[in-house]
Amino acid sequence: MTDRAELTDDQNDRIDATLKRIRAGLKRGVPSPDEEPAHIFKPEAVNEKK
Amino acid sequence: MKRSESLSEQVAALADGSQTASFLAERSLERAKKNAGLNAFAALDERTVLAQAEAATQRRSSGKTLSPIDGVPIAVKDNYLTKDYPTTACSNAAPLEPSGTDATLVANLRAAGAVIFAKTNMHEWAYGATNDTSTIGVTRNPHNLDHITGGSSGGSGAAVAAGIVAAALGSDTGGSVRIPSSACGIYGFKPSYGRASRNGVLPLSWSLDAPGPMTAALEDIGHLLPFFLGADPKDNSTFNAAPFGQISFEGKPKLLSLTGKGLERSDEVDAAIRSALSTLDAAITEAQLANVTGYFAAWEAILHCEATAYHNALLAKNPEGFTSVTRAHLEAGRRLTGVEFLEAQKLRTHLLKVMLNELPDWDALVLPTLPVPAPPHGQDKQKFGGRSVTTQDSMTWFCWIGNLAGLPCLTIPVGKSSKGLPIGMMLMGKPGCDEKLLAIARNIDQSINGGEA
Repeated sequence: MTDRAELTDDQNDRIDATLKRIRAGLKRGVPSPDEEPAHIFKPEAVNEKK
Repeated sequence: MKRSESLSEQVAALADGSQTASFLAERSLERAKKNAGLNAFAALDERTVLAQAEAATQRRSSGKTLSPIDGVPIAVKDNYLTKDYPTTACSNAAPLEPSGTDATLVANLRAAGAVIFAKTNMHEWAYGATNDTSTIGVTRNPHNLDHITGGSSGGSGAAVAAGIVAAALGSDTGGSVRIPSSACGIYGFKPSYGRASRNGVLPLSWSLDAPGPMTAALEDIGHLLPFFLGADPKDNSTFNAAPFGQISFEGKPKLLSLTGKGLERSDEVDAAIRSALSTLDAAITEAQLANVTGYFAAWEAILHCEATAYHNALLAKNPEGFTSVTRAHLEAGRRLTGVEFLEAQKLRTHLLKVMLNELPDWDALVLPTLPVPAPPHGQDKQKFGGRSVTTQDSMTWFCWIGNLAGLPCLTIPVGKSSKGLPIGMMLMGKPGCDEKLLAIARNIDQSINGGEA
């Protein structure tokens, strides 16, 4: 991870604002613990020889 | 601005012999020169275009036409790999991708005889929605050069709206097909997630990306979707994807107009949408979508995490190759945790469950495509509905919903602002129901635009 000191003030401000917005939103919107994340894993899709 | 000739009209003219592929190519080249001020193209080689067109003309004259679109010029966003043009994503950080190959969709169109006309200007890496950040400079809106095209497929939007080509390819992660289509007054279609191959389209976010056509007329989309939809062994997300099938829609569609906190729009845009809806023979109801802020956070978390994962090696090797804002997005992605990413992916599933099971029954969801008409270049903030938001966020304001939920989406022009800038209306269908959405849109477009925007 890039050291904050290597980034400009504007970049650091943008990073902070983005993370604050995302974390506040995720906290507000967390669904029930048994809900499974959306993800794709179709093992048969990787078989190009079929 | 009058609508320019559509791809459907070009297909008909090629079929009846009133136009040739060479004529269309020469005319497109001439219009590209005339409209150079739009800055729509990242790469355009006259000899490459004319050679493809001459081959198409000869095929047709010898009765060996490859498909109805054989000889039609189509422009391609600069994040699709193309064997005859470089692919830069309009960034100084050169992509770590092979050259000399075509993305699957480009290969499909080329095999059908389409003339791959040019690479179009785009927002750097598709990581923004204004098209004001590009290594070759801003793209200008043909309706008013002082205004943005929106992005990230802004060059494609400008090229179609100016009549240089009747169709162009875009890619859409948070609206990048629909945003410039709406801002430039044309049609744009984002397929359902997993129905169109992303192979060879430089990724922004694997969970959210979808390639799509941008066209002068709605009918054009029906000509192009057969080359977009269906399984591609090179893109696992399309495993078992159905190919395009024609479908018609009879009766009154159930349209659900979404409102709520986080879905505000300007009075001018709201009036245009309400006016358009009032002309329709449809069952229209309104419903509130709750927790928009939470879902938006999920979209943003997935976007930044996945973009950073894709760019990580290039970011380490050449950090200065990215513009300052893009680098800040990527550095934010590096600081998000795996748990946060998975919480976001859970919200993705949750949103879809709410849309499909908890909202009143619907055939299509309706929203404005943009909350405001295309803003002027350099304007950082937009004010609407009691809010003041960045121009970037105003562009993706509604569109990200379709990406997070993986829905097929379409924008159609429905009017003009007081300053003569286009206003678009977005329709979203149920996952996998791309053809049904297109059929509903045909009826709606007929009522609003008489089939001609």
